[in-house]
Amino acid sequence: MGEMKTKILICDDSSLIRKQLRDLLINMDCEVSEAVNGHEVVDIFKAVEPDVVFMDIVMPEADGLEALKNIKAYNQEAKVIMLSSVGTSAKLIQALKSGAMDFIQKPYTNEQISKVITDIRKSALT
Amino acid sequence: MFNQHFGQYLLNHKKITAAQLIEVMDYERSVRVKLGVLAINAGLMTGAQVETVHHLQRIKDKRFGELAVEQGYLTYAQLEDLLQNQHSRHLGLSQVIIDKKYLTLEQLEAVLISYKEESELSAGQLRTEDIVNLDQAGATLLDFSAAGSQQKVYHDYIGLLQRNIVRFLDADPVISKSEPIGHTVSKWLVHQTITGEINLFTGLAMDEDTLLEIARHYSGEVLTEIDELAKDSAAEFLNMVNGIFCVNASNQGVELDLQLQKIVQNQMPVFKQGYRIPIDLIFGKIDVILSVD
Repeated sequence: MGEMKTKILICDDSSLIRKQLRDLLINMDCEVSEAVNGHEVVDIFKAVEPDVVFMDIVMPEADGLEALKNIKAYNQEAKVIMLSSVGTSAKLIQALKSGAMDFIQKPYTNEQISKVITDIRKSALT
Repeated sequence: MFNQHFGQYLLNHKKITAAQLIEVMDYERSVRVKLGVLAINAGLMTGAQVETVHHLQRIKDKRFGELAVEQGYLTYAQLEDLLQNQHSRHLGLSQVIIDKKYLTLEQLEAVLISYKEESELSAGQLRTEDIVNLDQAGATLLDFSAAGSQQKVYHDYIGLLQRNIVRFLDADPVISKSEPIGHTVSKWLVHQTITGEINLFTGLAMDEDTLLEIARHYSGEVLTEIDELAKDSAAEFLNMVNGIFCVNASNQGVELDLQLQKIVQNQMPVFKQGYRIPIDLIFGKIDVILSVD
């Protein structure tokens, strides 16, 4: 029996970011789900129970910070990493106070994403 | 920007916790960076040497700089340079981390070295420190004096955009003279508004072929038509530039936010004031549309 794949949920309104992250994560042997706004991501989170969420901030309908709060309200242990072009101090602090595990400013590097996946897999073993 | 990236780096590498990062970022604006941290960051002294000088300070009535020179760790010229940088907020985060004892001096030295090494490796990631100022040649063509107190906003924005065009789209863009916004007609307009203490409309107007080339160059994807991926790729370029603009402003104490980026066809908003800055790229021409409200 093969190992369980790491389940990742990407939430970004940009099809470019979703495609490039998806391609990268599939190469890392992850199982990837996608959402395009802050409402959809909460529903998909509940259905999929991902190991980690990569969440944009500026999105239509509900933004990433609101979605983060809703996900944490549903599951306090949820691992959410903000992935945004707006890496200001105010946004960083707001995200961390709302329970984000980390904050990566766009444009991200493949190494940054790879490190997140490695850390998640390590933490799953302990 | 250094503090922002370095803070995220410390968190990524589990050197400090999220709670500790929140605490140090709350404090870092008011902290005065001490010479020891500055010297470690500059690579002039090791953590152990700074500890030695701290120990000597406890037994001798002398200042840090004097003792560091006496011990042969610093020259007077190096000390002078460090003193001139002491009022910079650049390293406030490191100083608070030391003051709070979240890291020792030796641990800070090690983490700064690895941070700088990894930053070099990821040169594709933007560094704001080197993209704030517009090239001299470009600056002389741009007359934003009619914008009065807002002219710096226009200059800063064009400087940032120019550097990112060089980095992602075309190594040799040619900026032409800025014009009052007037009536601009273009097939495509990618736009996004920055809001907060200033409200800045930013737009890139262009024809179809240029839009496709910008999308291709920025995304690295194979794109043959203006589909959703192509439009999102061009919009993401503008979003990335604007995100850095907000971070720069935040580092100067001005909090800004981004609205959703949009792309429209055969539509141009009407502005009371603002500028159109033509930029010729190797594959086409864009008009940069800027309007501070």
